[in-house]
Amino acid sequence: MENIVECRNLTHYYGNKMVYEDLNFNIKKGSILGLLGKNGTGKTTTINILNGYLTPRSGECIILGENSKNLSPYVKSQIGYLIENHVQYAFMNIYQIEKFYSGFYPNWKREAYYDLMAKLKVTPKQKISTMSCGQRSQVALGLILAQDPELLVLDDFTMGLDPGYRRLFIDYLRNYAKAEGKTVFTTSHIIQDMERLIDECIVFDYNKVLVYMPVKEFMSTFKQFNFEVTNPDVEFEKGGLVENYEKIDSTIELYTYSRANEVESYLASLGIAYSNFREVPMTLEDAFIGLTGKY
Amino acid sequence: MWKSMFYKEWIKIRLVFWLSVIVGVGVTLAMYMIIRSELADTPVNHYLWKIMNRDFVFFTLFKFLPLGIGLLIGLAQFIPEMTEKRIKLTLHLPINEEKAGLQMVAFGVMSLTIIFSLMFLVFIGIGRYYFPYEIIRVAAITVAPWFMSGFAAFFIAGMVAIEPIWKYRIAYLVIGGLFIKMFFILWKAGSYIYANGFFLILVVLFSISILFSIYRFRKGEM
Amino acid sequence: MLHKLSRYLLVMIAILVLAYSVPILYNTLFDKRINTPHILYSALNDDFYISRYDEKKVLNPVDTKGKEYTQTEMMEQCPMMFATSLHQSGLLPDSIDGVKIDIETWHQNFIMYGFVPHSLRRPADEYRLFPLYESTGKIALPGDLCRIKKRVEFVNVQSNEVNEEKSLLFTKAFEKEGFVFPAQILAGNPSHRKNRADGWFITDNIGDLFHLKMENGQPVFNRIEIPEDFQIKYMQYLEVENEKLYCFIISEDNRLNILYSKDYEIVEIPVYDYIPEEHTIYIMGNMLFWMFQVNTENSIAAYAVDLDHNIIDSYYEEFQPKSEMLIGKAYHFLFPFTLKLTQPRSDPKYIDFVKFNFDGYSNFSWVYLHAVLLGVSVFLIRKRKLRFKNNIIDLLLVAATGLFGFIAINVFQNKEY
Repeated sequence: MENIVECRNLTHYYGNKMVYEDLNFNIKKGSILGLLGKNGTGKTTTINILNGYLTPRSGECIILGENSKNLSPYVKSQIGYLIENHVQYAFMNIYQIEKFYSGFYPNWKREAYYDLMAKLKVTPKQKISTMSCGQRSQVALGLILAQDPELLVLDDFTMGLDPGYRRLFIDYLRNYAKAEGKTVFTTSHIIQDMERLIDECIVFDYNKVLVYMPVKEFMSTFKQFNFEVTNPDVEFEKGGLVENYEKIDSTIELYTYSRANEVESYLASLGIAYSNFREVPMTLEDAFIGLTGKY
Repeated sequence: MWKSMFYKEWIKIRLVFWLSVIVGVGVTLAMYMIIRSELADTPVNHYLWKIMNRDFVFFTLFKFLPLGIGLLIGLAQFIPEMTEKRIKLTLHLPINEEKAGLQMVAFGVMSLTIIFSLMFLVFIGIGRYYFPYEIIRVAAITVAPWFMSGFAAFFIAGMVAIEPIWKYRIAYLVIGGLFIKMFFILWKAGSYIYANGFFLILVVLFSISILFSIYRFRKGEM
Repeated sequence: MLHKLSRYLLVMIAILVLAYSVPILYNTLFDKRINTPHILYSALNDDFYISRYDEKKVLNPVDTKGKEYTQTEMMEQCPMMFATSLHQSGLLPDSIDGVKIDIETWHQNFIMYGFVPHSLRRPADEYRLFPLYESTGKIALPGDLCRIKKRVEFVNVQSNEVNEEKSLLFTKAFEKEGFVFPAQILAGNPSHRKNRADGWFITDNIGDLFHLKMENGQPVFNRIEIPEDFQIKYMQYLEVENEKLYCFIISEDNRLNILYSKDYEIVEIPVYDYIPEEHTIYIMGNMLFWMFQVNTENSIAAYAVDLDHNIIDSYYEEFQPKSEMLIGKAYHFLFPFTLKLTQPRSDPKYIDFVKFNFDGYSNFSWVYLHAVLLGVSVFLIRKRKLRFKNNIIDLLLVAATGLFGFIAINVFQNKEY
């Protein structure tokens, strides 16, 4: 399948502070990629590079065949961009903003926008700045739907949304993307509900990429095992079999890509006495926290 | 597309625009009201004598008005772009980024031209009713740099607002402030007769200054 | 590409702004006043007296031989200058060189006048409208103003309309004398606070000189014969008590002349090193002699001239110009050039105007600082890991404009992404 986005060897620093080095990822046409990570791990940096608001120290992003440093108006018209916090021209009302954007896009789908707006309880003259975060997210989404772009880039769209709106947004978006064959690139630091949306995920930690694989593969191979140890001072070395672990009193939560028997033989080889060894089922959020740690 | 862009800019400034028209034309009218009442006490020939021989400037009320209007229109246009970095939306529009920036500036320049023309016409029109051609000619020469300072202030406001780094904003403000000062060095009527052309060239050259800030923003300065 | 152009334009404007502002800051902080001495001529001693000042006090005057006097002594030696106070203290001599002196005659013949470069051109001259006073009878501000363009016009200031009848009357008088419209130089006294109205001295489009007066509402318009090849550059009307002279005239070749009222006689003054656009001239006239003092940036010259316009005595002194003092040297070390919008040194007659004047590159003191700044710039380019290829124009700007360019390129930085 054709790649809508190809990022090669992206490296960026702010001053001397490294964000990441040699980041590579592609987004296939019609897939939904989620870029997950805690605050400050470089999610927005990546979005900025993708949209041409930032030139990386080295490496490049090719979007719809063009280098993101210099996107042509046509390619920009094919990218729907939702800024963090659903920022829009808040000094306009919903009619003005529609009138404004429609002038830029020849294939503007007016109905798509107004269908969504009809569901909002806003007065016609109400300025966007006076709307709730949830309402604003719908306006921003409606505009992207009307733009009908090939690629949707959504920066932390869940931020500030209450659970209802979050669910609404995710379901609406997934249905739309799958029905129309759209490609979506989204970032988020709130993982809850994300597995309902994304096909593939990249998990960022500070300075490095922890995971880059389909969500299904990640959820089926990444596991959590809990067990009690008699010696509470026991330490594990990260990086081999153990991806991460947490200690709560004498209970160990161990995160790994290995199977149960492999973990048990690993524990035996270290001569660690343990009991009550069990696999714990995880949501994507659990897995994310397990992988990146609570701090 | 420029229609849409102008529509957006218009929504941002319409309040400030009408306010500027009202204040700009209002102050000009008020100035002539004052002159009319002064002429009731002083004979016209004495009033004119004071203008010509005592360096009396009958329109000082006018002085910083275009500067204030230029600054106000600039802030009304560019502060909403910088709050929450909304300029990202503008730069993401399917049009060349420099073109987008220049369209915004062009709109501001047009608005200012309309406001200033109205003020200027009222100023010259009523002035010509009261005073001979020569007096109004020198008055026009004198107010020209004041109007140009309005355009300069508009460009500076745009450049400073879009600039992403505070340190540079301050540096631009200092240079910009010194530049503005150059329009107000001498107060005698007619003083700028030899400088207006040069200032006009400088202001025109200055008009694309916002592109530098946009470029810096796009390259990720923060 | 346009963003690069916008940067260079900003850099250029910044250089202009800095070249204007920074030297002003420097001058406000460090400038030193040069106290030009004041020269007087004594008809009693036939010698000059030089009064000097320094920062704090007035020094005792000296004569040309170096002999020191007290202030009172000097005043007594120069009765033509201090007649009023000498008269009050009863010390005014009865006669000098056989000429009888009394305070009334002295007063009538006393003239003090100065030509500074910026009085040659004033913004108010731009109006080119003047009141023409009635020469007979009481002087009052007329209700109309006169302009001389394609014809003579009188604008009624109340109605703001041209008085066609009066305009025609005067235009005819002008045409009769062969006046070529429009008028060029207008010299006269626009004030209504005066005892008599001599009218206006006007040159026409080919440089001929005329005298316009109004008597009983009728034009009195005379052509004034001027010497052959005489071209008037500046003309200043003087209202002197004794009515002996009308104007000082400076010709195109910088000669100072006096236009006397008797037969409109024009007489050249033997002062030959005066450049009106750069120097200041002080003129003192009295019943015994004339004295002219010409001040330049670094010299002072005084000429005592008798009433037949022959030089009696002269005095010359040079002093250190500002450019050779420490503040002047440091100035030229720091700034290769400056942008003067007012008070240009190169053309001081424009002092009351805003005008773009570049003063500079007159010597090479700036070379050292430029070399240092160039070095720093090269260092910064290497430190920022920029390519030289992209910074050639910046480096050239620093080399040419020094401090200004250096600040400008660092405020508007040439970044590579």
